[in-house]
Amino acid sequence: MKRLLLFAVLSLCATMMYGQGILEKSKVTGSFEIDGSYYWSDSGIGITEENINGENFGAYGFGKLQYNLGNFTAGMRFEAYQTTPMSGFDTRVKGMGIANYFATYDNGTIGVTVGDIYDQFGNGLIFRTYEEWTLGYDNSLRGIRAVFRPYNGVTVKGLYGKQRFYWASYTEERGLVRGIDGEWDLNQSISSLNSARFRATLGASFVSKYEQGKTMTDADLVTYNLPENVGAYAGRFNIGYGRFALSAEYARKINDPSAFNNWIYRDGQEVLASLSYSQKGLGAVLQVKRVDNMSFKSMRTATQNDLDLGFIPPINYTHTHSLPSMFSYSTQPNGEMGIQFQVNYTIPKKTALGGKYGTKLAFNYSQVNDIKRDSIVVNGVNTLNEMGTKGYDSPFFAIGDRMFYRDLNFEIEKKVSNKFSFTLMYINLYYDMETIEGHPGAEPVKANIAFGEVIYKINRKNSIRLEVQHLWDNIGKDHEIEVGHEDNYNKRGNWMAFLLEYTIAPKWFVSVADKYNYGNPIAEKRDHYFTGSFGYIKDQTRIAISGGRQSEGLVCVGGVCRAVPASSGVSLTVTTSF
Amino acid sequence: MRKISIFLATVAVILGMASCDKLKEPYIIEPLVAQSDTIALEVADTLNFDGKVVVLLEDYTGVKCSNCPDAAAIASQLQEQNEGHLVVMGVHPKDNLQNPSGGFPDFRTDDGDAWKNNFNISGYPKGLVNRASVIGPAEWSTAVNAVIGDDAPIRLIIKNEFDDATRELKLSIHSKFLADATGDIRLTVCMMEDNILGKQVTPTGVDTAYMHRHVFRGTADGITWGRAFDNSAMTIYAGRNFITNMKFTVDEAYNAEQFYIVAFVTNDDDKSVLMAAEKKIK
Repeated sequence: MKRLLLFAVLSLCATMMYGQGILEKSKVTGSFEIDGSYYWSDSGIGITEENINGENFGAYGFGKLQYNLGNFTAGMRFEAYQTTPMSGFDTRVKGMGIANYFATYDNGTIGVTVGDIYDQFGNGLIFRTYEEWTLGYDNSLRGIRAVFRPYNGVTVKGLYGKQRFYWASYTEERGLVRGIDGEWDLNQSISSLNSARFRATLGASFVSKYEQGKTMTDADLVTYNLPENVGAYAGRFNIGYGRFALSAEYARKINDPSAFNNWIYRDGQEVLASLSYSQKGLGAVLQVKRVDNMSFKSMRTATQNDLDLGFIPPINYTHTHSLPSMFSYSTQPNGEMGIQFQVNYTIPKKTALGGKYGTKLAFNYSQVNDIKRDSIVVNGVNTLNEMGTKGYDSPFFAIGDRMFYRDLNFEIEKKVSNKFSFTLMYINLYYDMETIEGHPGAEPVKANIAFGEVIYKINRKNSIRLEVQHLWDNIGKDHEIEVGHEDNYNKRGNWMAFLLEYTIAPKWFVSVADKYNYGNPIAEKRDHYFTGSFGYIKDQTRIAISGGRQSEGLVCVGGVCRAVPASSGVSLTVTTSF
Repeated sequence: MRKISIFLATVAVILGMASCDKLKEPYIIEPLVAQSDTIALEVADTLNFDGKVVVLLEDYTGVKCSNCPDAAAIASQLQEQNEGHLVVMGVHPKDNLQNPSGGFPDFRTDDGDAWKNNFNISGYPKGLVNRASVIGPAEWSTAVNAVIGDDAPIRLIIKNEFDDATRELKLSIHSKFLADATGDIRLTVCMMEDNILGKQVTPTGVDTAYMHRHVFRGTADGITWGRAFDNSAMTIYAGRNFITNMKFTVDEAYNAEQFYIVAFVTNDDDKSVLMAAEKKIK
């Protein structure tokens, strides 16, 4: 079936290209990436031949092609994941083939897409399909999508299909998904608002999944009634006036007992709101979020990040520097309440504090707590989160006692002269490792992190960058280790790190870096993670080689994380696009 | 344009109404008997299993059906010929020929009536072999021989404990899947009583001392079409093992010496019977 569709798509392309002037109007774009790694054992960081299991070489790559002719677009993506245990990818991602193909016709009023669909309703609370290469994540919907724009500013979308589940066949048992979304941009529709200072968009969506099975019996012979159709709906608005913008979205899901929420029948709810102010040189954002039992998947037995239909936007600062990014927050669909406040201010140039070029200041505070869960009475007994019940009560405005994450950071970025600029950052971090990484018994991280970066432009082409970081952990060298939980201390204790990069613009770069966990409470884990990188960039092509040691860490994109184990080896990355 | 918008809005509403199964409490059905009360299999039970299918022959009959005694005799004879591999059930629906008025025994059951209606049985005697199709007694032998000797897709073993004093009967039905089974696979458990003396219409008149054999007394758990093994799976794969426990008091009206249990596994999608078993309680 998929070969037939591919053939039809390609034939259509070929046929069309033979027409007069077709070739001139056709546009083909694409991108390719290949990552290859060779791993070896390293007793210094505890990597043995047994860990590698003979799979020293790992590679993954993709090739995307897209063809466009007027209102018609077709595309495909071939991917191959030949990963090893050292790569840190889920083993189910291993395989190769055409992972994605689609064809779209869109004339501005009506658009139809068949094939693998990536789309999002509003903020994605009840529907978001996307792919993230670095996570090995792809939850695309294979089916059909129709978009209808009856008036200016009004868009109605409907879709139907089945989600991708790694390389599993689409004939296998999984939920069928149908959804509809409407959005109304008042400024486009209402002529008097076309150029008004007041801007408004309204939207609403409904998504339902169908999964066969009215009952389920567990090992204790208890039979659970299951809903075959689970629906979720959401409403949203975005309002802006001058420099202010306010947006909010509310989503609700009916009973959805699943392996992820311990088979409880409580309705799910989620609220996301944001207020922002923006003018030249000053910006501020306040965001709040509440999530209560909002794991929405198209298969009730799915766990981890598998088959997610809904997306929970993280409202935390995304750290890119190597030390703070070891403790990145991943969203908790079963329940969380968060707040983020960020201010960006540029001290104007040619002032005493701002200097010749101005100085950028940024302050960010974010915190995420659990929701409050009160026990409920079932058959005369107080229960909390028990299978086959409504689970718990949770007052909407009550904040749970358990804090999952807190981040307070302050950054200064300053260009001192044409040749010299620097960045300084201070971070205070609280990280509930037990909840976020699923390590029972792990003590929370309470860290202070300092970061400094200096860039010196030697001349128009050559520049050098130095990065220095230090992390002070609340757990020191003499900390008593809980026996049997040694793995919880893999990245604990004080760290120092540096990176030195030399760039010959526009094509070449070379860097050396080291991360040293000198303060780890377990002496054997006080290791240096030394790496060297070398790269070449020309136009859209980038080739990079790096080698050395990599510490255990997390790769996180949008609150969805993949754990990467510690490893030693060399890797090559080639990317290009056209 | 406006019409299309209204149409789309209607579609959205319809979609919304059709696509939400809001469940009411209770959300769970507790088991009749806890897992801890399982009566375990013994080595002899598994050794005695020869791996061959046990066929179910349902004889739809009536106390006032004159041709039914001959059909019952055919069924009993077939059972003797296929010892241990043919289970016979005499089902009395709720039609005129089963009406007990005039001193006849009342063997009617709601379950039997529901089955009769589903299979569109009219006129007696009629039979079903593994619930394939409704056939007359003349065709029973051919139908049974067609499936006897096949490999069993499920190993079905009934274990029981009966307390004479309280008349409490505990059952543990062990179902082990030997081959993959795709569909809505269910277990039906039936109460049976054999050798009941009572009136019966025969071709030569009314026999007041007729021995009624294999009388179906109703499903043991009240679930007419059986309880699903695992409704969350489209396919039950070979190797999976299920234990269904039940407990009830045997009615005083039934003779415990002649009381026995019949259990059979069906695919509810087409109602076909995959495997049957029977066990006396004493």
